[in-house]
Amino acid sequence: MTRLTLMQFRLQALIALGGLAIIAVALAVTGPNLVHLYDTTVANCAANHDCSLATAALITNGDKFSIVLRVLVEVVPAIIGIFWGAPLVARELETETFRLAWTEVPRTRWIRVKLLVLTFVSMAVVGALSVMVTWWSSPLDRIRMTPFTSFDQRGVVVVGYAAFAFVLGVTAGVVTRRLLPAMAVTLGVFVAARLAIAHWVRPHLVAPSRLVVRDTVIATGSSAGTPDPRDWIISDQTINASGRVIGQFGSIGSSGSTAVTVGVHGLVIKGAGSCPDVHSQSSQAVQNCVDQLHLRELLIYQPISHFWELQWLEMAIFLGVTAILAGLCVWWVRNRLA
Amino acid sequence: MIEFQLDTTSGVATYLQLVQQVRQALQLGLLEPGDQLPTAQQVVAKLAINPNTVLKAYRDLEREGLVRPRPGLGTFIVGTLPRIDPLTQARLLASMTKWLETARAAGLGPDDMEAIYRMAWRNRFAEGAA
Amino acid sequence: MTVAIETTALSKRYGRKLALQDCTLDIPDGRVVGLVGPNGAGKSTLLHLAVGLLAPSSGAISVLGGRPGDADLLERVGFVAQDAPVYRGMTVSQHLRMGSFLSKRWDDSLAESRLDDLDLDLRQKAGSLSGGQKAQLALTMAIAKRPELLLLDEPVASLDPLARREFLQGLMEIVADNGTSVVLSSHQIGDVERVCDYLVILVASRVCLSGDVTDLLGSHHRLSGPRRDAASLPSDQVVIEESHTDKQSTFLVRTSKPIHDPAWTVKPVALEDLVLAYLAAPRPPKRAHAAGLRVVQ
Repeated sequence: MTRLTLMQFRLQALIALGGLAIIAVALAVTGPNLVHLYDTTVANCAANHDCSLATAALITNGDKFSIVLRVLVEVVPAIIGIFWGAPLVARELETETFRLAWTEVPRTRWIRVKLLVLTFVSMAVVGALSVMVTWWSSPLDRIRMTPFTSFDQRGVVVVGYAAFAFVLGVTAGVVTRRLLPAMAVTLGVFVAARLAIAHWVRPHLVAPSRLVVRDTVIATGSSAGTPDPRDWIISDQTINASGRVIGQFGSIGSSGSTAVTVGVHGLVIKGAGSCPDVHSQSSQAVQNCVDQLHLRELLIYQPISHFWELQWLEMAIFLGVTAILAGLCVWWVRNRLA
Repeated sequence: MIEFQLDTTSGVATYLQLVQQVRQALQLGLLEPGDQLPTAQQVVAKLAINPNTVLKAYRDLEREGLVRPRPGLGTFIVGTLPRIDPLTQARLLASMTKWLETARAAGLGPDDMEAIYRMAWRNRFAEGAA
Repeated sequence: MTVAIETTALSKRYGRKLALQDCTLDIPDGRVVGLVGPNGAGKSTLLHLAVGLLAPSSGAISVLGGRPGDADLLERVGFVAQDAPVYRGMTVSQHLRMGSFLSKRWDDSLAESRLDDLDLDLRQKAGSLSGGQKAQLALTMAIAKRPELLLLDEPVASLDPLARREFLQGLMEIVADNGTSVVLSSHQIGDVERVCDYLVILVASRVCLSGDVTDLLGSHHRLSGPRRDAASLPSDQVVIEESHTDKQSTFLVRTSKPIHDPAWTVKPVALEDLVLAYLAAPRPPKRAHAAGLRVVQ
């Protein structure tokens, strides 16, 4: 049955290997340039005092391709779900070849082996892609200080997405019994699940850290104040003296999210109080009042040290859901397709 | 080797047709003791009939003492039937043709002729063996 | 003699529709069994139940003494579905490889020599084969695993007369060589008459007749004689079909006893006429023994 699975998969395997090969070549051709550029400009930039120039140059050099790669790594699991997963059972049902396959081998063995073998293949393909892209992007990653923005494309989660997308596709095909609806359902559910988990679950997979800092209205050009610039800030809220949230990002004033007025009672900051001795809306004045009223910023964030824990946990979630879907598939094939 | 034909319109059972064709071949001298009959596989590959039909026909012929199966080798003719001497056959054919022409001229159709034949056969042979 | 297919009050329901009801059969092995009946009578359903593609709604079925769909039973049973589905993108030889991967008893030389005799190109994609060639490929795959039982669902329905004849020739050769039991469903009563020695007639999802062809032909007679009522016939003679003119009556009866009444001209019934009579008979009345037309259940 394993041999049959691989034989029937030969075309898709060729396409996948071909695609990986093309990407590998493209990365091999452009990657060393980037590394070379990094080594010669950015590595020594501190000594030469031209870091901002060097990093900007590196980013300009690699940015376009880096965007392509990010899109690629995001899209490939979905493609696997739609083009490898959805047709697996749906096509057998539509072309009626299940009447041939499932009279040669029991249908439960058929689906179990196909699921097992091809899920691993999916994970391997996407894993290989992720490794290559991570290698190529490492110069850029080193200067960017925002590993969490590429959380979805680095590390081990991608492999979880691949397994989930594939088995989701197979399940959609089993339940809808027709290819096009299965493909549509796979795409929809995959995107929805990814977004939902990234937005609502990931921030809290590991208990985030909290930090209260002084609300600096004057922009200083550095990050909001977490210990490490690579930390992932989940929320940044302006709180008043009693801890109530009155705005976002600590921004006060005409362009900020907390309203400010000047009147008879002096400078009034909405939700916080008034500073009778402040009669101007200049940044200095506003900062004055902010300090007077003990306004602060509450930062909820995931420190960089949690990066890998979050990766493994999110992958575990997706793999867990994958296992449940696989079980559903086998049950459905055994009991609802007879 | 004899090649069997099948007439699906005759109303005669298939196995009987096979038996009749072997007997006719024996009578006409087309088959002699020692000749091999086609295997069931060969017959069904050509006629697309059930192999049991062939085996049934061969069993009937064996019961009549005309053939005998030799395991692993095939089914062989072992008996004979009174030959129809070709001269006699020609004479009978001629007188039959004349009779048919007479009947036709008298206005008889094929069914009428057959009815007369059966009546005559019954009258002459009904008490005796076939 | 062992049993090829045994069913007890087998039923299959789709929503409100009964595809097969109360089917009780005892099909012996070593036969070529014809499954006849109009479209929608339940022939496909019965075959699919026998091979495990469908599960019974109620009742029981056992094939070669085992449960349909079990791994070891699938090894012993070959199945060809209607219109012989094949994988369009796979070549003929890849189909054979598939068979060898999945069957422990796969006979590669048998498969290849059969395809060779049939002039099928091993490297041709199955999607470009003609209907007859697909049927032959599917049959080859089924027989190369050396099954004890072959189940064929209208294998020749969409074939032209030559392809049909060639298919049956090949099938009969397989039966002659291996003693394989065959159950095939068909519309073509002429084909059934040629190759089958056991018959099952399905009408409106019920079995209305089953038995050895020789026994069936021996127990059915066409009686013609002066006009009389069906009710006046002895009770052991079950009337399947009747027709009357003002002076004459003709009955097709089923009986196990000899017919002595000198008023009758008794003639044998051809298999085709027998089958047609059962197919045409109206559904049985609710009461078990109504006077007049009584149809065997």
